[in-house]
Amino acid sequence: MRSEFNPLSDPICDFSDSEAWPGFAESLYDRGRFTEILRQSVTSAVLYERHRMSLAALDAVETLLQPEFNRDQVAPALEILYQQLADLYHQADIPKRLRTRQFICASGLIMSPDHCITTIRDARRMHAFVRGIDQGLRILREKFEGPLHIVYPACGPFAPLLLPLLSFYQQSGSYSANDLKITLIDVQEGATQSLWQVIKALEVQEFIADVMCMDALEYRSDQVVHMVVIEAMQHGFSREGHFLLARHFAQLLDGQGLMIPEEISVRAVLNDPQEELVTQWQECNGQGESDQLKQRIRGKRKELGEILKMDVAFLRSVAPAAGRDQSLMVACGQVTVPVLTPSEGSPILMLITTVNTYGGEWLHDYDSGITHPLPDAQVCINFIPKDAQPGDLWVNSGDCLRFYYNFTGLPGFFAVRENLADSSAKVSRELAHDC
Amino acid sequence: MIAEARQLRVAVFAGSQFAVNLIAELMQRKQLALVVFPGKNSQKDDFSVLAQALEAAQVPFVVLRSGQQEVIAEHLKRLHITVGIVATFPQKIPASLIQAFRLGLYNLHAALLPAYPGPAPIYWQIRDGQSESGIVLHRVTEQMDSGNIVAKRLVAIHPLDTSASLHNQMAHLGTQLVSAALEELMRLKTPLLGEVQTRHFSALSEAAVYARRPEQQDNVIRLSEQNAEDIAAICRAGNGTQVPVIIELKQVWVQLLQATAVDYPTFNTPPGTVLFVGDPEGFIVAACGSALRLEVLSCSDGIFGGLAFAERFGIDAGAQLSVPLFFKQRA
Repeated sequence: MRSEFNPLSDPICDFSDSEAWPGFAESLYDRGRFTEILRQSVTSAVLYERHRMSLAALDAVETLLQPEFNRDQVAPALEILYQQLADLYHQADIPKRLRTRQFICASGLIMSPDHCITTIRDARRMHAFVRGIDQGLRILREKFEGPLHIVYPACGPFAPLLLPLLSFYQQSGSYSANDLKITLIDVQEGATQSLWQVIKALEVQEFIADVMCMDALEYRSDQVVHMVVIEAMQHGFSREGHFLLARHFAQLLDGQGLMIPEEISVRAVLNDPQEELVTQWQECNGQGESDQLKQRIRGKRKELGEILKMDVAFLRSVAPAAGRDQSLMVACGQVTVPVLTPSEGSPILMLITTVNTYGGEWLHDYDSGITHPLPDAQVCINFIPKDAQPGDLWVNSGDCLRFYYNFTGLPGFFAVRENLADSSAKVSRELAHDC
Repeated sequence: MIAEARQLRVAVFAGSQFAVNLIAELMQRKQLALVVFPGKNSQKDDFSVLAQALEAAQVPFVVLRSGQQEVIAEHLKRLHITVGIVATFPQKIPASLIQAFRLGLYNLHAALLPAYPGPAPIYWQIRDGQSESGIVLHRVTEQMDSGNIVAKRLVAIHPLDTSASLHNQMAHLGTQLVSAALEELMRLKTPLLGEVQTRHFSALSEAAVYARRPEQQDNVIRLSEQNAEDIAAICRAGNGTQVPVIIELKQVWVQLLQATAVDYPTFNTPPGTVLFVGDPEGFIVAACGSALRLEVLSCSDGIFGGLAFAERFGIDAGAQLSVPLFFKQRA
C-alpha cells in the first residue's frame, strides 16, 4: 500500500488500483473530476460520521437494554454517544440566542437547550426509561394494529430517551418505520433545530412524523396517541412542567395507551441535614454513592408518608383549582410530624421522588438527578430559626402537614400546617364570639 | 440693556456642580464678582477645579464658615456686590447676609415650590415618578425655600431622565432664568418682589414633603417590597448621584445603574426569581407583583449589560437572587 502520494510525480492511477487515496481516478488536472472527487470524499466523511453515531447509538442502547444496570458498561457507552451528539450540536450553527434562552412560563421552567444536552449522561435515568419504553412498546404492539404513534413532548435538543432507541430498532430490525411514528415537541426553537440534525445523523427520518416547535400544552392530535414519553422535572418533582404536561397528554392518550413513566411517587421524609446533605458525600469521596451508603442513609431517615402518587388515572381525574392569587394548585397528601428524641434534634424535611417508568423499571432516590431528595429548609421542625424569613413554617412534633402542589411559575410542593384540633377549637371560639 | 447689565456685580453661593453653568455664564458677562463656597460640604463635591478657574479669571472666592458672616459681608461691601444668587447651597444663609444685598438675594430651586423643598428635589421627583417639574428663582428668606417666586420655567421630566440628565437640564435653564432676572433688575433697579408660592399641579399637591438628601438605605433595591416601576425610578433617581443604587444578587451587592419595568408575567413566582435570561428579552426578574429587566450592572469585575452579567456569572431563569437557604444552619 502506498504510504505517500505525490500529485506532481506519481503516475495517474485507476480508481480501483488506488489504495492510498480511494477517491482519485484518471487525470489529476481534470478540474471537473477533481471537484467530483472532493465531493465524494466529503460525502464519505459525512457518511462516516453518521455511521459512527449510529454505531455509538447501537452500542449504547444494547448496554441500556441489559436487565442489570452495569454503570461500568453503560456510562462509557453513553459518554461516547454524548460526545458525538455534543459535537454535532455545537457544529450545527444554531444561533447562540436560541441555545441559551431559558425562561419561566405558565407551565414552569423551560431549560435552555445548552443545559439539556447532558441529560443523556444520566446513566440510571437512561437505563430505566429506555428499558421502560422498550417493554411498553412490546405490550402496545400486541394490543394495536398499524403504526404506533408515540408523542415525546419537552424532548430537548437530543430527545435522548427515544432517538437512540429508534436507531437501535432500525439497525437491529426490531421495528421499522411502518411500526412506529414519532412526534417530537419542544417549545425551544434551538432544540427543534438540533433535533433535525440528530434525526439526520442517526438516519431515523422515516420514523419521525413531525418535529413541532410549540408549547406542548397547545398540542392536539387527530391521530390516536399510543404512548407518551415525558420527563420534565427536577428533584422533588419541581420547577419544570411535568405535572401539567402529563395531565394534558393523559387526556390525549388512548384508553389503552401508555404513559412513560407509568407512575411517579413523592414522599416526605425527615433526616439529619448534616448526615443527608454533607457527611454521606464526604464518605463517597467523589466516587459516586455506593448501594451500601444509600442503604445506610435510608435507614437513618424517618418516613412521614407519600404525598403524591401520579399515574394516568390520577391525571385524568385531577382538576387544579385557583388559589387566592390565581396560582393553580392541587391538594396532595397529609403527614404528621413524629415525636423526636433529643438526639434527633431538628431534622430537615425532604421530598423524595420515585419514578416507575414501566413494569419493573424504577428510579429510586439518588439513582438519578431527578430523584435526588429536595430539602425544604423553610419548614422548621421543633425550632424557631435564628433568621426568620418570609415563607418559614414553624411546626412541632404532632403537627399535621398538608402538602399542596403549585402548578404555576416554578411548580413544586408547599406545606401548610393543618391541625384539626386547633381548627375546630378556632371555629368554636368564633361561633361563641358571634353569639 | 446688556451693557447696563454688565454693571451688576453678582455673588454666587455655589453648593455643587449645579452652579458651574451659572458661574461660567456670569464670568463671561463679567458680572461675577464673588463666589462663596460652603464651609460644610455635605455633598463632597470637589471645587478645586472651579477654584482654579476662578483664580485664573481673578474672581475672588471665599468659604462661608459658621459665625463668619461678617467676613462675607465685608467682601460684599468691598466688591460693591448688589445681587446674590444661591444655587444648591447646603447652609442656611444668615439674616444679616440676606439683608446685605441691595437688589436682593435669590435662590435657584429645581422644583416648582412649594413642591419638593429641600436639598435633593431632583432625586425625589424622579424617584416619585413625576412627569412635570420646573426651575424657579425665588427670594431668599430666613425660612429656606419659602420666599416669593420671581421667575420660573416649566420642565418636562422625560421617562428616561436620570438625576444627572435632569440636573444638567435644570442647571442650563436656571442660568437662563438668572440672566433674564438680572436684566430685569437692571431695568427696575429695585429688588424683584415676585409672587407668593402657590401649588401648581394637583399631582404635586401631596409633594410638599421635604426633599431630603438621599441616604444609602433609600437606594437599596428590595425585590420583595418594591414593584418594578418603583425600582426603575430609584435607578434613574440614583443615577448621577453620589449614593449608588445597589441590589443583592446571590449574596453579592452590585450596583444597578439601569432597570426597566417590563410587561412579562411573574407567574406568581416569589420576588427575586429570575424569569427570563435570553436575547432579545434580556435579564428579567420578578419584583413585587411585576417584572423588571436588569439592564446595566456594575461590580468589582466591571460594568455589564444585563444579559452579559447573567451569562458571565451563570445566572439562569429559575434561580433565586435572594440569600439562598440551602443547608444553612437555621436552628
